[in-house]
Amino acid sequence: MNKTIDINIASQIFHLDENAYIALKNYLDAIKAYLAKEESQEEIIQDIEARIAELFIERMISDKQVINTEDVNEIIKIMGQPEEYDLSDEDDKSTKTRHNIHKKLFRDKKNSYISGVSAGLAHYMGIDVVWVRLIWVILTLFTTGWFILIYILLWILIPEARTTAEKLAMKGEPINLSNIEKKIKEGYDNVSEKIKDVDVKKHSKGAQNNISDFFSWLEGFIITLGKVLLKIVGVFILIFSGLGLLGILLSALGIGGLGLFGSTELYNSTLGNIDGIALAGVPSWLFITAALTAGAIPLLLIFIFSLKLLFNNLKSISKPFIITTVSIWVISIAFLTITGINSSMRDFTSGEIVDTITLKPKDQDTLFFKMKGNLNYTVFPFKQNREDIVYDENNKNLVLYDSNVDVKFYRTTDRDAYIRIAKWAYDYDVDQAREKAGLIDYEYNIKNNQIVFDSYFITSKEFKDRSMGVDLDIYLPENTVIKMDENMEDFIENYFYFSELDKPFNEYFNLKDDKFECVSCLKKNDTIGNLNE
Amino acid sequence: MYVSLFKILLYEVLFDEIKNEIMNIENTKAQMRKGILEYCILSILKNNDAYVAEILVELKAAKLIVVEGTIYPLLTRLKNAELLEYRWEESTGGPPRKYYKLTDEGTKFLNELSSSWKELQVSVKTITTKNNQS
Repeated sequence: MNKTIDINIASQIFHLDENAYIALKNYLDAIKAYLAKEESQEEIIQDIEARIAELFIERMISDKQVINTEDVNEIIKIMGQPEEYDLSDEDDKSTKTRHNIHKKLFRDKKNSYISGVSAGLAHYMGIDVVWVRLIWVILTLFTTGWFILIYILLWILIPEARTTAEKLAMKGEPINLSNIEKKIKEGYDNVSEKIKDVDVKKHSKGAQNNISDFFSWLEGFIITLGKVLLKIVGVFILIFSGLGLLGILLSALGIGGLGLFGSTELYNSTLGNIDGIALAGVPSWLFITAALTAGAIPLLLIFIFSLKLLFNNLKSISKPFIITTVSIWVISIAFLTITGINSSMRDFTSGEIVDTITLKPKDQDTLFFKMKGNLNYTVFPFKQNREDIVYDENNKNLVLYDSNVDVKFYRTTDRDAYIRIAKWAYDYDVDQAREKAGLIDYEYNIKNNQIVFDSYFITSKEFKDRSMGVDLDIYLPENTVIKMDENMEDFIENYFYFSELDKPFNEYFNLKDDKFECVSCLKKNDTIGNLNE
Repeated sequence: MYVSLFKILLYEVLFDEIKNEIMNIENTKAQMRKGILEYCILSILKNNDAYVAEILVELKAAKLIVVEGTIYPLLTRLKNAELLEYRWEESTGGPPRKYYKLTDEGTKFLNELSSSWKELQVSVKTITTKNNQS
């Protein structure tokens, strides 16, 4: 029993059994494919179909109702396979090239010497591969080798034809079922011949194979080398990003910025004192967390990326994860930027608390200046700009020891000499700055013509690393004689009055015409002068 | 499926070049045969119009064609070259038939072909008989 199918050829209806139908369909498809390049393809096929209809009718004369495979095969035999139509002539070739628009450029590894670039180009341009190779050689010679670079570029850019579809596209043949079927049919017909010819073919291809073998080896070698280099780079990135992450994690633990580790003491002593941050109304732990996050997220992504680079089979990072981390990073950066702008917008101003002491020495009295250090706090009592958290004199509380004491000399037209003692500090507004300056504990001692300054001040330990200090401005009228102790050396900011000596200490000086004249050392100079004579 | 694909690949690798060479020889033969066939078709249509089956009967009888399919592209080309024209005629119990007819151009072309064919025949005969004698 067989299923029958009704078909309509040239407006005639026929009953075909299933196998006959398939055979006929294949035959007509093959003709269609064969005539694909023919101008009047449709018309020819109509004529052929009309003839087939006639032949069918001839076979229906008796009581026969259904056309079977035998009939179809007989008709195909009469009509002939499309290959037997003998259409190959010049016309045919010209139509062939006209249809080459659909061709795609692939590397033809099968016909290659090196990479198949030339063979692919030859297919594409519809010329023999020999000419393409010759053109390469000539161009390379004429450009002293520069064309090799273009060749390599093409090698990289043009994909290799791997699938049958790509191979058909490479040669400009339409990719349809009947074409592939045709190929298979041709393959069947020629199978026995093929096997006979294999050996001959092998020998003729021998030389070509050696060269292309070498180049495919080279191609593989370069790819492997590239992969190895990539892995090495991956290892380096992995190590550096890993170390960075570890560093950030450790500092997070150390500072307690994340708030999880709670040690406010530690962060107060270090990052907590970043000028401006705490004062901009932002809690320090938030700022530090944001800073660490902003640093950690790119490192984390780079770390994962390098892992992926090293292990190809690693599962890819999920999109939500990337989106989340990047969003967090953007938020951190935005927060840091806003905080930064906020705190930099606020101006620092200084606040001072001033004492002015007028000195009324008797005429001709010399003013003696001296610093007083305190060895309880430091072993370098006469060094300026030292800061330390120390115990106070009662060894009870921690205080800040600071030796930021500046001494400056000025000339005054007033009758009396005076000293301006200014304790100063910086803050966002004057009142706060003055308040802070008021916390500076500074002492000095003036007894007649003996003036003794402390070389340091004491203040609250929380002001470490903040700018604050004590300025001592000494205003002197003309003809004042002074003598400074050498322990003042480090604290004097303006030496320009003392032009005569490198170190104007332990000598008597008289202020005359904007200059200190050394009174006591004149004699010495004379002596030296005498000796020289 | 994979076996078939493999066969295609094998075919491509081994036979493309050989096929090209054979095609060149085949091409010449085909050209000759095609020219003669065209001449014969025009000759058949010289005295009376005919439809494909009738033309085929004569050609087959003269053993000029083996498969019928060959004729359809040829007829279409001759028609496109305006050497032939056709009219439709109904047939009893079959599809309508294309009756082919020579155009004036076709008649002229056929006459030219005939004379050159005769000349060619004489030339070929002269050479072949001369060579056969010696």
